[in-house]
This record gives sequence, structure tokens and C-alpha cells, in this order.
Amino acid sequence: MTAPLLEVRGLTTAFRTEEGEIRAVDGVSFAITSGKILGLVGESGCGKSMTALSIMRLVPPPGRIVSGQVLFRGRDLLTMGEADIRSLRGDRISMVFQEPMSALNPVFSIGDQVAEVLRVHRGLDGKEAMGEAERLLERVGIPDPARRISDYPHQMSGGMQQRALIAMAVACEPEVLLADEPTTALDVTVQAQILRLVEALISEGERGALLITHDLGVVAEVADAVCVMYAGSVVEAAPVQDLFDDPGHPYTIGLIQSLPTPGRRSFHAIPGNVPDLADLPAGCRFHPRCPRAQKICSEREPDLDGTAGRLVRCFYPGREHAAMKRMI
Amino acid sequence: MPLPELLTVEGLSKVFPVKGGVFGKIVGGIRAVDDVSFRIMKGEVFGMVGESGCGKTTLGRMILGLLPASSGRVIFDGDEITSLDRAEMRPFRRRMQIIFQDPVGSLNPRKTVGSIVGEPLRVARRSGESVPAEVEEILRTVGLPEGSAHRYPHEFSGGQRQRIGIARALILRPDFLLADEPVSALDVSIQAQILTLLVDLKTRFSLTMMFISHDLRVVRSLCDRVGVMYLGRLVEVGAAEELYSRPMHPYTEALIEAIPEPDPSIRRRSEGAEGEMPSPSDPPPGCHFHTRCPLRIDRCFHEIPALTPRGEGRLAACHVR
Ligand SMILES: Nc1ncnc2c1ncn2[C@@H]1O[C@H](COP(=O)(O)OP(=O)(O)O)[C@@H](O)[C@H]1O
Ligand SMILES: Nc1ncnc2c1ncn2[C@@H]1O[C@H](COP(=O)(O)OP(=O)(O)O)[C@@H](O)[C@H]1O
Ligand code: SF4
Ligand SMILES: [Mg+2]
Ligand SMILES: [Mg+2]
Repeated sequence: MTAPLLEVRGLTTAFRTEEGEIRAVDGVSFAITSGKILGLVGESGCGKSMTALSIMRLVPPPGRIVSGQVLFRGRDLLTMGEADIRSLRGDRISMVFQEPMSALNPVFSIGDQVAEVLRVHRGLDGKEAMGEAERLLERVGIPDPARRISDYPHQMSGGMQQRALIAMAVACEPEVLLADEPTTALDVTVQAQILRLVEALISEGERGALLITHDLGVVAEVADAVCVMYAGSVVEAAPVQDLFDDPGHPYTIGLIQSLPTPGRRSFHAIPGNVPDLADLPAGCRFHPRCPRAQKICSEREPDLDGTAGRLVRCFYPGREHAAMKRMI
Repeated sequence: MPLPELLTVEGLSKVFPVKGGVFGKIVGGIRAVDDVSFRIMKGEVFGMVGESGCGKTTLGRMILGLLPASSGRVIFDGDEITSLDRAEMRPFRRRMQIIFQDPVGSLNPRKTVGSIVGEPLRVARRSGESVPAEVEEILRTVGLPEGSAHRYPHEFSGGQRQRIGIARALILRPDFLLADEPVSALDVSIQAQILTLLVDLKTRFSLTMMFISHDLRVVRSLCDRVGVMYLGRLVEVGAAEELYSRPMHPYTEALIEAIPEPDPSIRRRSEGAEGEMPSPSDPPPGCHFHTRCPLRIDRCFHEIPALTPRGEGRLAACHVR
């Protein structure tokens, strides 16, 4: 196994709210490796975006990182000085967001915005930076880049905006790309194009990605390994094929089963709702919705347990226990 | 003899005027829906798919008479309803109902759930009387907890709010339910709860449904027949399984090819359709899809292909296929 490019250990990010402190990210650990895409999947509000923003040290107030480490090239991003993290951000580690329109600056042309990244981090002069920006726009599949370089964000479709944002993110050849639902706002044919682009960018050079999505189809299509999050914590981590062939956590199983099956007009739902982070159930936070829950599940929180790369946070994981439960 | 079809749409079009200049003069038009014709049979679930902006919502609103058509006709159970005035439309309003994508935006936050759900009944009966028994019954039917009638929409989760929208739509016992992206805003585990409910209610209330969605996976499972729209035009119609396993129109094929399959062993590496859907304010001449189509021939550049029968109830609009 190759050494990870970026390692997240026990990351916890909290918000102080009227109902008390909530942990949007609660003890999350994973590693991003070179040439690979790690999928981070879970339903809305489970802490995916806050995980990525914590890595970048961009958690919006009143949120704050409470504990954990984010190790990159032997250094902890969470303890380094503000100037140091700022020089890494957008250069060695960069992020792509779900809503390109709100991530782009409406009053500058996309050429200017890509060139700006190169001026700040690479010290290129204006002309060099514009030339390089044009090359990057071409690389991310923007047709006729020499003309489109002076377009403003509002003149572009959502798909083209997302391509421009990706061009900014990869302008400095970052080692780590954090993509937060980059295709959720896009139509399916454009989504396919953007996913192909992300794959191509990861396979070239020493680079790894965290791809956040709520769509298991997207995970299956592009991720090499997957972390499944539920209510702020990772409940399962596995290579992608294993996750679909032999899901371990009842929540993962429920998510996979809730996907529509062709030719069958029946839909398998997970009962109940995602819990309120301010009022988490005791024990396993999935237990009130879990078909396998036993007494211990409401008393103790299970550890994320297993062998390297195949971890499940459940007292009764996998097929074996599914069979056992049927016999009870 | 009763007709086999509940709804017939004939040549329906909608042009939204585009205003420009300081005087707000009409300088052009967006042809959001362009000469669309199809039928929905009694008891059927008909799906309408296509990428955002292709005209699905506009089409649905015209069918329900919520938006006047620029041209074309809507025939509901044998009666033409396109040209009816408000009073003439009233009996049809009861029979045709709608649920929306955004259950939050469509529910008045200052009214109790009981009042929201009972309102169509009070309007239909033209009385201010409360209708608690019927409201309680429909709330139970859609799976809301006891006592929901006295609470407010914000006290409910997204999935439960969609149940409130469904209760409001069904309290008048309609024959036809138009569902416009009813689960698109919900998480997958909750989507399944709402879809299960819709399947159950369809049987229980003998509903005919039109299900508008950009989620091709959901439509495949839920619908009997499916129509595919591109840039305002209907480009293909067919039985769901047929259409998904043997798409005829190159656009349908591109859409289906682009669905991310939740199976890592069948990863695709192809790019699928190139480019993006052009703006409906300036559609390409000829076949609207020709700018992205891998099969295009000269004829596609200037002649709009008609939607023609292809046997076994299938229809497609393509010069090549
Ligand atoms: N500004 C905020 N104030 C309080 N809580 C917040 C704030 N922003 C996010 N949260 C909490 O963080 C949780 C995780 O949010 P997020 O990471 O955005 O979820 P995801 O990206 O998985 O949808 C939310 O469920 C919410 O409880
Ligand atoms: N009230 C309106 N005025 C002007 N244009 C509109 C209006 N409503 C919709 N449109 C345009 O019509 C086209 C079709 O929109 P819509 O029916 O909402 O598509 P869909 O539901 O398939 O996403 C879009 O280009 C949209 O911008
Ligand atoms: S008519 Fe021509 S351009 Fe249109 S879909 Fe068929 S082959 Fe492609
Ligand atoms: Mg998010
Ligand atoms: Mg719509």
C-alpha cells in the first residue's frame, strides 16, 4: 500500500447552538492516497461538507475544529500558522464546490479568476498567467477557450462554470483535490462529462481526491474506496467493490437497498429520519432505525472496527449477522 | 363506452415572451414547450423525463390549466379543457391535482396542517365549515402521526412535508395526479418512503399519474410508460422497460448511458453525449439534438423530425433511427 497523501485522524468539528454544542463531524478518520478517489457518501446534514471545510480550515463560524489531526507531508494542517495554511490552500490542496455560481466571483472574467490563482501561488506575470489560464480552460473541456476566457460566470452554463472552477482548482497541480458534490447541481449527461474529467485529472500525476456525494451511483462509478457517514461519524469504510458486494453496516445496506431496482415497482425505505445532531440517540446513533438493533446497541457506541481498509461501526455487521437476525 | 385514455395532449406549445430594452418591449420568445402530443391511459403511471429547462414543469402546468397554453389542446376524459374559463374548469380542478418538488414552498407556514389539507375541500364545497373527520382520515392514509392536523408545516421533516402535500392533493379524491419532481429534494432513504406511499395510494385511489422527474432510475422503476423531452420537444415515448433497454432516440440513449449505475463492476469509460442542452431562447434549427448527436446526417441540420410510431406503441422523433 502506498503512503497516504493526506491523512485525517479523529477530526471533530462542533457548532455551538441554542440546543447546546453539536458535533457536525465527530471523530472522523480516513486517508487520501495518490492516484485514487476516495468517495465520502451520506445523506444531507451528515457532515460531509464540514469534513472537507475542516481539512481546508475553512469552517464557517460559529463552527470550530475541536480536535484531531490532518496530516499532509508530515505536517498537521490544523496546528500550522494561518500564513502557512493559506499558501497551501488552492496550491497543494484545493477544493471544488457544489454551486459553481456562488464559488466564482461574478465581477471577474473566468480567465482573470484562473490567472489570479497562478499569479498568487506561482508568481506568474499577467501575460504568462493568461496564457496558462487559456491552456487550463482547454484542459477542462471548455470549447473555444481563447474566446471564452473573457466570459463572465453568468454568461456560462452550470456545467461550464463547474469546468472553470475545476480549472482554478487544478491550476497549481495540487496533490489533493476535495470535490464537494461537484455534479449535484448538474444534469446527468453533464455530470458524466465532469466525472470523466475528475477521473482523468486524478490519474495524471501525483494526486488524490476526496469526492463527496450523496449518490451511491456516482460512488460506484468513480470511487476507489468509500467512507459512509451517518450523523457526523464514519460508519463504514471499504474498497468500493467490497462495499457494494458485501456491505457491512446496516445503514450502508439500507442505502444500497433504497436505490430503485429496474422492473420492480417497490422501494425499500429506511424507516424513520436522520437524527437531530443536538439530540443524538444513546449508543449506536443508527439504532432507532436499525432492523438488527439489540439491547447493547442502545447502550454502547460501537467502535469503527475491522481490518485495514475494511471497517464497520456496528455490533452485528455484515451478512453473518443478517442471517442470524432472520433466525431470531 | 368509456375511453381508454384519461388525458390527451395535442400539439401543446408555450412561448414565454422575452422583454428587452428600456421600454420592456417584447423582443423574442422562449419556446419552452414545442408542439407536444401524447396520451395517458386510465390507471397508468406515465413518466416524463429530461434535463432541467427542457420544459417538463411548463408542460405540467399547462395540462392542469395553471398556465395558459400558447397553442394546442388538452382533453381530459373526453372533454377539451384548454379553453374553459374558471367556472367551467371547477369540476375538472377537483379531478386533477398536483404535488410539487418543494413541499416547503408550497405550504403556507402560518396555517396548521389541518387547515392546509382541508382547504381544497372547503373551496370545493364553498363552505367555511371545518372538515376535521375527512382531514384526519387523509392524514392517517398518508402516514402522518396522530395530532398532525394541529401542528405547523415547519414542525415536520422534508419527507413528512411531502406527505402533507400529498394529503392536500388527494383529499378531493382526484382521478389524475401530476407529481412534479416530488422526491427530488429528499434524501434517498426518505425518497423510498414517499415512492412507496405513492405506489400504495395509486392502487388505493385508482389514480392515473403523470410523474415528472429528472431522476431516470426512479422513473424506470415507477412508471408504465415514459416520455423523453429535449429542448421543449417530445423526442421519444415507449413502455418503460422497452425504452430503457432499447432506447431509440440518440438523446434517450445518451441519457440512459449517463445514469451512474450503482455497480462498480460495470464502470463506463465513455464520455457519453458531448456538449450541453442549448438555451430554449435560441434552439438549433432542424433536429434540436443535432448539435450533440453522434448519428446526425445532413437532413438533421434543417428538418425537424416528427414524432412517428415505431410499432409496439413506441414513438420516436429521429431521421436516422
Ligand atoms: N452554521 C451552522 N450552525 C449550526 N450548525 C451547523 C451550521 N452549519 C452546519 N451545521 C451542522 O453541521 C451538520 C453537517 O453539515 P454539512 O457538513 O453541511 O452536511 P452535509 O454536507 O453532509 O450535507 C449539519 O447537520 C448541521 O447540523
Ligand atoms: N415564467 C417563465 N417566464 C419565462 N421563461 C420561463 C418561465 N417558466 C419557465 N421558463 C423557461 O422555460 C424553459 C422550461 O422551463 P421548465 O418548464 O421549468 O423546465 P423543467 O421543468 O424541465 O426544468 C426554461 O428555459 C425556463 O427558463
Ligand atoms: S434526427 Fe439526426 S440529429 Fe436528431 S437525434 Fe436523430 S440522428 Fe441525431
Ligand atoms: Mg454538503
Ligand atoms: Mg421543473
